[in-house]
This record gives sequence, structure tokens and C-alpha cells, in this order.
Amino acid sequence: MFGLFKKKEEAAVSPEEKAASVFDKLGGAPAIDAAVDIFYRKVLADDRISQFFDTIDMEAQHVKQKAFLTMAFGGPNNYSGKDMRAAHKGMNLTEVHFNAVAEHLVGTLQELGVGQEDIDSVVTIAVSVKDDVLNQ
Amino acid sequence: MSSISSWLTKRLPSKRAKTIEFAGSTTSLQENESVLDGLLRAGHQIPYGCRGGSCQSCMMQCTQGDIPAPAQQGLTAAQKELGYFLACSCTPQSAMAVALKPPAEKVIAPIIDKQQLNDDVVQLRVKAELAYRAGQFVKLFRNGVVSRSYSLASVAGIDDYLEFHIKRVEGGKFSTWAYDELAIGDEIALEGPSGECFYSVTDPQQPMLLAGLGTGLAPLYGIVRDALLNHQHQGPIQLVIGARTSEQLYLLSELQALASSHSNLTVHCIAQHVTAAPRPIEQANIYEFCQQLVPDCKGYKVFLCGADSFVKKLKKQCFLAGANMADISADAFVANG
Ligand SMILES: Cc1cc2nc3c(=O)[nH]c(=O)nc-3n(C[C@H](O)[C@H](O)[C@H](O)COP(=O)(O)OP(=O)(O)OC[C@H]3O[C@@H](n4cnc5c(N)ncnc54)[C@H](O)[C@@H]3O)c2cc1C
Ligand code: HEM
Ligand code: FES
Repeated sequence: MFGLFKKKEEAAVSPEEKAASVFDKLGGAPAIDAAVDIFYRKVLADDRISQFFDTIDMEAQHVKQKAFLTMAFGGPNNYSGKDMRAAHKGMNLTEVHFNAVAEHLVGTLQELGVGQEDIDSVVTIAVSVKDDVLNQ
Repeated sequence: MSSISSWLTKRLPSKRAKTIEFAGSTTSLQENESVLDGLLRAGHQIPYGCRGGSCQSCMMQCTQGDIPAPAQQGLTAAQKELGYFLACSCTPQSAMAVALKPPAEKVIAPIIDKQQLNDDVVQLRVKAELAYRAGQFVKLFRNGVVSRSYSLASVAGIDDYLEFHIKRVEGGKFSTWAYDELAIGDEIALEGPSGECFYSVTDPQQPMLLAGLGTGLAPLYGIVRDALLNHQHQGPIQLVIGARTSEQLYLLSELQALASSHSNLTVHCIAQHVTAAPRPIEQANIYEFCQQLVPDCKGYKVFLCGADSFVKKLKKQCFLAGANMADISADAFVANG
């Protein structure tokens, strides 16, 4: 699995800090648990991107989506830009895929009753890793 | 008891507070240090990823001591019951003993019964002392070399033997031997238990859907009896068992008897090809059948057992139909597992 025995790296800087409050405002880790089922269900039902997530092991994928949401919500994580490149390498992701994921991220937050301002800061984080995710 | 001893028991743990026993050595945690950080500092190799409680790379098992609640955030009820926790999110208040993997127990035990359940499936009963939960599986060994996983159909506290349902796979190394040669009185080595597909008491009123294909019935037969007989589960239980042909379904009278004595249990027997007429067997596709039976899985506890492809497909179907991921337990009978 990606990330095993990885050296601890210094956390990256600003956009995370800006939205760190979203993770906390939502209620921290328990909120991620609530969000991940909603998000993952949306993603699996979306033909534009379901093929990336409809893989061998749903549990493992579910856990990765949790890592994804924790990061997007500005929660504690140690992923660097390099990690993000590695995690999404070889998938040939495009703008279309990225937008679909961002859409479901926003939809999930709306379903959870999160306010627009907080949704905006989550989107800011997502956009900040876009180049890495798309390996551009 | 005397106040001195109660004073002592209150005092001792905090005095020796926050020591972690792992792999034969003891590490003292510093203030606010996580188990993961402490063990890494002491030079142990522990897998990890996010250090934030979300990737679950650092999952360990607690063999002694109390697990703080945040360290089990996001784990399934079964994982919690097994004492699993996330080392990166665990800052204990008192001493703990932890392990990377559940220590496997190996025992050698005699076969005490062997019965034909249908043309392809044999039931083995083994007399062994083993702490397990119904629905978990063990590794069975043939001459100490070939080993395969088989699910426990027996229930601890009710059956005083371990029961297995083994389907004969043509050309299979273990199953043909078990089916053709293994005899009552022979001894067999087994190792385990493992697996997280078992009933855990969370909400006795929760509706349950159990679906199994072929010998996928084995773990479900254990789980459903564990829920009803050991834990008095009250919520409605739908048990769906399927097979290619109606002759391949087995234990039907036992299941009907169980359903007659428990009004909250309904058993559905379905086959793609129905030949044997008088039995309560429906001709149906198991995926469509489950979809119609429980169109909305929201709030359901789901157990799925049997062939890998079946488990995966139905797991996705149930998840998309609203079941929480943490409420879906599954055992996929992957070949050579
Ligand atoms: C967690 C778990 C629980 C399991 N529980 C049970 C159980 O309760 N009852 C049970 O009968 N089995 C169960 N299995 C499957 C079992 O472990 C063996 O894989 C199976 O019995 C075949 O072993 P074998 O040595 O006879 O065949 P092998 O020598 O391993 O395989 C021979 C050939 O048959 C193929 N093959 C393997 N399995 C099947 C199959 N089911 N159908 C068609 N072809 C197959 C293989 O790919 C191979 O080509 C379980 C597996 C797992 C992982
Ligand atoms: C919006 C910004 C995104 C962020 C912040 C993000 C973040 C992450 C993270 C943290 C992981 C887990 C890495 C690991 O520990 O293994 C991950 C994995 C993954 N991501 Fe993303 N991701 C983003 C966009 C996307 C997009 C657009 C797609 C495809 C449509 C995608 C598909 C995947 C897949 C398939 C995995 C699992 C890889 C594996 O199985 O190893 N991600 N992502
Ligand atoms: S390191 Fe990711 S959950 Fe502990």
C-alpha cells in the first residue's frame, strides 16, 4: 500500500491552515466517517469517474477516500505534493475527472449542511493540489 | 476490600502510566505521545501513512489495557471488538500491550463427524478448544503443507465442536482430500481464527440482511444462530441462500426449523435452476432478488459470504442501496486464500 514506512515529512503550508477550521467545525474524524459514505456513493454512481474507484477492494478504496476527504477538509495529514503525484500517477486524469470529483465534494458538503464559506475553503484546498493530482 | 488495596489499584496504573509492551520490549511514552510515535522512536518498524487517523495503515491490536475512544474512530464494530486500534491516534492514559497482527493459534484436533450435506459438500466436525466468533474462519492443513481457509459454521457457547462445510472442487488439493479421504478419528491441524465477518452487538433492533452463495452458507449459519441464540437479536433478519441448482442448497430443514422458532427470521432459498419441486425454493437471480427484498438498505447490517465475484457485486449493490460501509461485513472465498 502506498504510504507504508514513509518518512514523516514537514506538513505543507497555507491553504490547509486556512481550512483547518472546516475539519474541526464539521466535528473532526467522526464527520469524515459520515461524509465518506455519501461521497463514495456519489463517486461510484458517476460514469465519468466510477472506473477509477470501482476496484478490487471496496474497503481499501473506502479508507483511501477517507484520507482524501481528511486532506480536502484540511484535517491532519502528511501528504506532500510528491505523494499526491505518486498516488494519482498512471491514471491519466484530466480536467473532466478533477471537476467531477470536486462536484461530488461540494455535493457531499451541501448534503451535510455545510455553509458556503466553508465549502469555498475546501474547494480552495482541492484546487491547490490540482496540478499534482493531474500530474501536470 | 481494604482501602489500601483500592488505593493501590488506583495508583499503580497511573504510576507506571503509559508504558507500551510490544514485541517483547517495553517503551515508555512521553507526555501526549502516540503509541505509533513512541514505538517508532524506540526503533520498531511499524507501518503508517497519514498519522491522522484516516488511512488505517497503522492498525494494531491491543492485547492488554484500555483503548482510548479516539484510537478506534472509524473502525467497524467487529474491528473494535477484536481490540484493533489506530496507533497514530492512540495516546493512552495507562499501560497497554500491543501487537501488529493477531497471534495465530495452532491446534491439532480429531475429526469427530463427517456427513454429506449434498453431492458436493461435506460437513466436518472437529473437537477443538478454540476461542472464536461464529463466522470467522480458520486455516486447515493437509499434512502440514497445504493449507486453505474454511469458515466456521458452528457457534461458540452452543456447539461443542467446530463445524465446516467444504465443497469439493474438482482437482482441488485440499477439498478433494477432505471430501474423499479424511475420515472420522483422523487428526487435522488448524490455525486461527481470523476474519471480521461476525455478529457484533451494536443495536439488537437493527434489521439484518444475510446473503450467501453455495458454502457461503457456512459462516452465515453460524452468524445467524449467534445473533438469535447467543445475543437475542430482535430486529428482522432476512437470510438469503442461493445456489446454481436447487439440489445444491443444503441445511434447508435446519433453517426452516430455526425460522419457525424465531418469528423475526425469514429464510429465502433461491436457485438459478429449480428441479426439485416440493421444497420452498424460488427460481431467481440472487442480485435481483436481494434488490427487491430490501430496496433500501439504509440502516441495515449486511453479511455477505461466498465466491469472490458474488461478494463484490452484492457489496457494491448494498452500498449503493444505502447501507453504510461500516455495516457491511463480507467474507470472499478467494481461491487459495
Ligand atoms: C476466508 C475464506 C473462507 C472460506 N470458507 C470456505 C468454506 O466455508 N467452504 C468452502 O468450501 N470453501 C471455503 N473457502 C475456499 C477454500 O479456502 C478453498 O479455496 C477451496 O476449498 C479450494 O481449495 P482446494 O485446495 O480444494 O483447491 P486448489 O487446489 O486451491 O484449487 C484447484 C483449482 O480450482 C480452482 N478453484 C478454487 N476454488 C474454487 C471454487 N470455489 N470453485 C471453482 N473453482 C475453484 C482454483 O483456482 C484452481 O484452479 C474459503 C476461502 C476463504 C478465503
Ligand atoms: C481533488 C483533489 C484530490 C485530492 C486532494 C486527492 C487526494 C487523494 C488521497 C489523499 C489519496 C490517498 C493516497 C494514499 O494514501 O494511497 C487518493 C487516492 C486516490 N485518488 Fe485522489 N485526490 C484528488 C483527486 C482525485 C481525482 C480527480 C481522481 C480520479 C477521478 C482521484 C482518484 C483517486 C484514486 C483512484 C485513488 C486511490 C489510489 C489507490 O488505490 O492507490 N483523485 N487521493
Ligand atoms: S497512520 Fe494513517 S491512520 Fe494511523
